[in-house]
Amino acid sequence: MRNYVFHYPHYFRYFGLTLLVLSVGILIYRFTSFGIFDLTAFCTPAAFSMVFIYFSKEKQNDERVVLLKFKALALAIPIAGLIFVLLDFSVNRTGYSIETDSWYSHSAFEYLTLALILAFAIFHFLKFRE
Amino acid sequence: MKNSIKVERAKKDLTQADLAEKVGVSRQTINSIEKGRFVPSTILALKMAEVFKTSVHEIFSLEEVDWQG
Repeated sequence: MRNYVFHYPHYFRYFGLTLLVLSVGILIYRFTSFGIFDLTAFCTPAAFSMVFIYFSKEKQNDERVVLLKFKALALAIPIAGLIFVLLDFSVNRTGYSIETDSWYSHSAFEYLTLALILAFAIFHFLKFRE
Repeated sequence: MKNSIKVERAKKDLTQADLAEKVGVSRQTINSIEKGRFVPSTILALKMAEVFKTSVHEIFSLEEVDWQG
């Protein structure tokens, strides 16, 4: 009975990597053409790419890998949340923005991208350490 | 939880990689189980017992700390 959490087949990782390269391309294009460091344009496809990369099966996918991936997610999600809370606080402590008529905050895609990049790094660290 | 996987492997002249292949996990998983860093599932424990031609109780034993929450 094999019923693992990570649903996508292993080759989805390469699809995710392609999407990630495309995201970086968009970021570079926006910066070089318009001088804008467009994190939203980068993070929207990057978030999906990280979902494919992180949730695709490893080459050797066993119960220990599933546990380590879960542990890594459990660590990465609050750490990414804390990073964004601190970032938002550091920008918003100067006050309400009259120009944008809003408080500064990050998009869900930015949070998801950071959380999954952190989870990916923590997973490989745990895999190496254990 | 204590285990005697290393001893059982030596009896059957199996490397970690050999055992890993037989039970369908990675060598690192076998290493983690031997070192007590990872607790195997019931199915994996039963598979190991099957490979070693012994019972799960001969391979794994509970310690006092396992009874604590």
